[in-house]
Amino acid sequence: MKNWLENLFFNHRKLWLFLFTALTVFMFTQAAQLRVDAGFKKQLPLKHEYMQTFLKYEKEFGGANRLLVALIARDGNMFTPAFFDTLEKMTNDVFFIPGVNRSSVRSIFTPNVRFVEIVEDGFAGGNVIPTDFKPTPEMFEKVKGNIIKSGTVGRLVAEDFSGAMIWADLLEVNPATGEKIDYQEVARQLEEIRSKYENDQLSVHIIGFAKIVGDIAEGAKSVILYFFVAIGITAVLLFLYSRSFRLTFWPLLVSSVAVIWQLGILKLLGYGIDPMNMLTPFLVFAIAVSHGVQMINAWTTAVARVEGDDAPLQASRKAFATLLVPGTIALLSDTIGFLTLLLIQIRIIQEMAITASLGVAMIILTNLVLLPVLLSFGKGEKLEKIRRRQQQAMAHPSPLWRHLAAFSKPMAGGVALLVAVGLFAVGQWKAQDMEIGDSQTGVPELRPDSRYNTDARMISSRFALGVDLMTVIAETEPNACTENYEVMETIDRFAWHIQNVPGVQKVITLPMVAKIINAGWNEGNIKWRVLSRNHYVMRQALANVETDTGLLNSDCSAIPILIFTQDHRAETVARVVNAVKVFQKALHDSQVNLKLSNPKLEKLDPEQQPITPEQVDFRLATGNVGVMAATNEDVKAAQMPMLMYVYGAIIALCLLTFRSLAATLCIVLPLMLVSVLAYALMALMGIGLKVNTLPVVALGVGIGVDYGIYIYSRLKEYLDADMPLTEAYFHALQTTGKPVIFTGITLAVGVGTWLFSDLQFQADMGVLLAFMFLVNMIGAIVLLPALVRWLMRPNDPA
Amino acid sequence: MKKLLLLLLLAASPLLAQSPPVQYAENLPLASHSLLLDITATDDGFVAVGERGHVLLSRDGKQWKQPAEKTVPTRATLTAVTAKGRQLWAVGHDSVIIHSSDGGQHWERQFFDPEREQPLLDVYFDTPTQGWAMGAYGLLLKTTDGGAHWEEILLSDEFDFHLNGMARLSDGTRIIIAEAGNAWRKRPGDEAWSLLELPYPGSMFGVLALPGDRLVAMGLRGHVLESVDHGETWYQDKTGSKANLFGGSLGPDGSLAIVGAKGTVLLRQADAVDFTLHEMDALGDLAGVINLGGGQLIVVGERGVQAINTGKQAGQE
Repeated sequence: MKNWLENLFFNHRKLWLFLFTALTVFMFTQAAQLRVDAGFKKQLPLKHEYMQTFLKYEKEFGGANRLLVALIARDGNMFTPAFFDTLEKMTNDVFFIPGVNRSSVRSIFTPNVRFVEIVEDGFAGGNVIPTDFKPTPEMFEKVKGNIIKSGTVGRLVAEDFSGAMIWADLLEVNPATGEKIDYQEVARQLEEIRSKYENDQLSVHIIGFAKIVGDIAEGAKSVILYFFVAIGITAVLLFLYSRSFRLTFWPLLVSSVAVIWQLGILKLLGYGIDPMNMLTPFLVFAIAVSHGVQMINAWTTAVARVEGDDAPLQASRKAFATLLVPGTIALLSDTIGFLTLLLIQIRIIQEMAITASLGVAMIILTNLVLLPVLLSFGKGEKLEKIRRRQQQAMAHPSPLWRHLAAFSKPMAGGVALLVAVGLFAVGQWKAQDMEIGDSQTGVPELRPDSRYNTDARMISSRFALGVDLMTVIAETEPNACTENYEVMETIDRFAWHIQNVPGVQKVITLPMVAKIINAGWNEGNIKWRVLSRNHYVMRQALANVETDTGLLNSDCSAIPILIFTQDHRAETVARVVNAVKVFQKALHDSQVNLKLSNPKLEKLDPEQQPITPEQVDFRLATGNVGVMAATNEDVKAAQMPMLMYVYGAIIALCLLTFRSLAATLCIVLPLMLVSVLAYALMALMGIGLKVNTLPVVALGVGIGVDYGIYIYSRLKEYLDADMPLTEAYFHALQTTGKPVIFTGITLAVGVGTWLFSDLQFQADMGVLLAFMFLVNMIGAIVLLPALVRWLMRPNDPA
Repeated sequence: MKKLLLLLLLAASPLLAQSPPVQYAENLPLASHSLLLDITATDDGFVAVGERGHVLLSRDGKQWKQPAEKTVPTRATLTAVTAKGRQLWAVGHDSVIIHSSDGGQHWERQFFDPEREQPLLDVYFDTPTQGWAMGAYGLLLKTTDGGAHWEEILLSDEFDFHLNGMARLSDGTRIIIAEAGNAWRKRPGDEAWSLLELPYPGSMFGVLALPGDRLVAMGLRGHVLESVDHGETWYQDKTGSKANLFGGSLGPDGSLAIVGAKGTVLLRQADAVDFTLHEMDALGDLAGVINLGGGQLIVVGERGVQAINTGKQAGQE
């Protein structure tokens, strides 16, 4: 099989070269047409039950994909003619942004924001800004009063009256044209609004998903720069390593080819590239370089041993034959590692899984086939130089290899293993602190001091409510809000229970409004702030509550409970979710108990029936915090199975290849240590496990296994040739250990530059990946031989 | 036999239907921040009542606690509370009356009739045995046995305005203030209650008897009415407020405090004629008050119970 493949490629080198070139050109034309494709729904775990609620009520209540545009008076007083003029114009501008659901736009200038007040003979009410509005001090006084009566302080108007806000929900698909919204265009128009109205008196602050996408896409431009920086660094190090332009150039070229193919196939499959996914091509490139270095190392080793005109070809054939199995196995492990990400039912992660696994699969062709074919064309003087240097290196091995080889001796190996066990225990302990989800105000994708996050902090400090919102929807029977006291009472009691959950700032729901209106119908007497059992009274109370308040749907069969939370830390989110579930369960249980203890009750008087779960069901959850709750739950649920599958696949592949349980353990145990340490590092650095960081863990395992497989397969070769362990490992280090150490360091330096990125998540991933590259490398070099000594060859001479 | 059983069952059915299991008030951490509608002093400290059957007890007026779980047998909004020593009565919506004989630690339900749709809005006890409860659409209840039995008293056939509060003067004259400029009076020796007409056509929400048999009533849109002739004639005070006023309290120093919507607090020193108006928006709508004297108040309202100090001069004493 191996020979057959070898002949297939090397007997027709030029034909293959032509085919590869043609394919690359074609893929390049495809890749060039790739479009940036961002989406809000892609980020949602749409299969999650919470998101089913979101999808069901998206049109009626919106809420999750919301834009907040705040106008703040720098001197702290919004009651100036300039401020009101600007706010009105800004409201209109936001209204006309394509993709904005126009009925959802809300500010003190929109007609869906009203106030009510109680006078001797009943109610007075109207729009916050009177139709005869003129910017006079008396009118401002009146407007201020109206704002307070409308109950929008803290939501649409800053608590200290230093600014006001416009809310708007975005529709991902334009219902009229069926066209998908262009988030970057929305972000651009928002920036336009900002530059149009911001001046030395007024400042504009914008938050919302569309703005995040815009800012990330902006920051992602620098990703391209980092890509070239990394290529540069890799090239320099590669040259220092190989002392040959050709040996520097070919691996970089084939690695780029892998990326081009990957992007081309993406386009052919109809995908775009998401700003959140921008880093994947770079990872593919990094992995490709790492395998390329193995190939040139195997090739130079072979070149040093063969003479004659066709030495390059012979060396290529040899290198191909040597690396085909371990290389394929390693890359297959990577591919499977990425494919396990498909387990997470979030479209953007699945796209990443497909993007990355395609890329890695491409490396099998480009690095294991194209690279040796390219190398086989070398000849002449330069080849001689390479050969001589390699021969010299083998004759006079660096003392480093001797020192490292000591880890295969019982003493040093034993110490290394003990240290590893200690690290594992510490890591395991620390890893428990790792949070699921986010913790900061604003978004973790961007730097804490980015404009977006500054805006988010500004808005959450001036406005009490509106940034972190979870909406639970009470599903009930039609007209329940006026015709069924029990339902309204239960919703009210639910709201009160949730209000009592630590971390909840405020709860707003229809029964609360109904109570205040009921008091209003009773001359504003606070003692009447109750829900009436009387249907007529309730009808009167709710007659003027329109659906555009977002507090009920058209037939009052769905009543949202708006839960504003202090933050969106995973702990807070989980606490609220749990409280909702506890309430729902208690409601259900009390119902069941009642029926059991009082079976006749139902038949006797249906009107006296306490509430049943069929009558009201509290459905989690929409709003941005609702999305986070679902995402956190899915990430948490997927984390273990994902690791199981990654490890399962790697273990199966190793067992198949090496047919030894002990060998498999030698490769896999160091990886497990690194996984645990990675979690501990995340806990230490306050990086939460979330959509952006979850792939890193799978990835780290994939990359780590490459090192182990390469080293073990070479070690096994020497062991099979009856060398004692320490001697065999010394030789393995000289041949594969060298490129492993080199790639570990090179890749760590490459991703290390991400620390300087404008994007926080790129910086976070950079740290994690650099850590993974280095520690996996150390694990493979130090722990693997120690494990082999203690598990497989305890009796070899030291 | 079967018929007899069926008959028995039918006879029992309205009973079964009308007595769903008692719903006890729930204990939750923020109860002292919920809508509280009345507060009174007891032998052991203070008691405040409000929405969801909330009863809150305090020794010092600062730390507030609900009595133990499952001790308050209602979830209706309680609108008023009164104390005679350690005997407490609280009334509220669903025409509920609950009673405690141990300073508020344990309660029993004395009256409950949601079908009426007539909330009770105030409760007044002369002695631990004789008391009154009143509320919506002219509902007036009286007991002479500490609440074991409540008897309904019909003021008049046509009258269906809300009765909002009661006060009693030293000679036994009783005043009930009501909705839309109405009030009722019963002097010692009167056979029946008689209707009075107040000079302001809006509702009065609360009434107090001050030393010297002076009556003060407070109500809609900043109105305070006073009478020094047992309710015969009333005059209107200047308050400077347009907020609804819901309750008042006489301090040990003779000062009068009246509270209302939007954090409105009116204070009048013992010998003063005019009120000082404080508008403390941050307090929210206020429903009731305990006047500790020296400008120190405990107020209850939509933001729960809060201890406040209305003036710096009080702090300097």
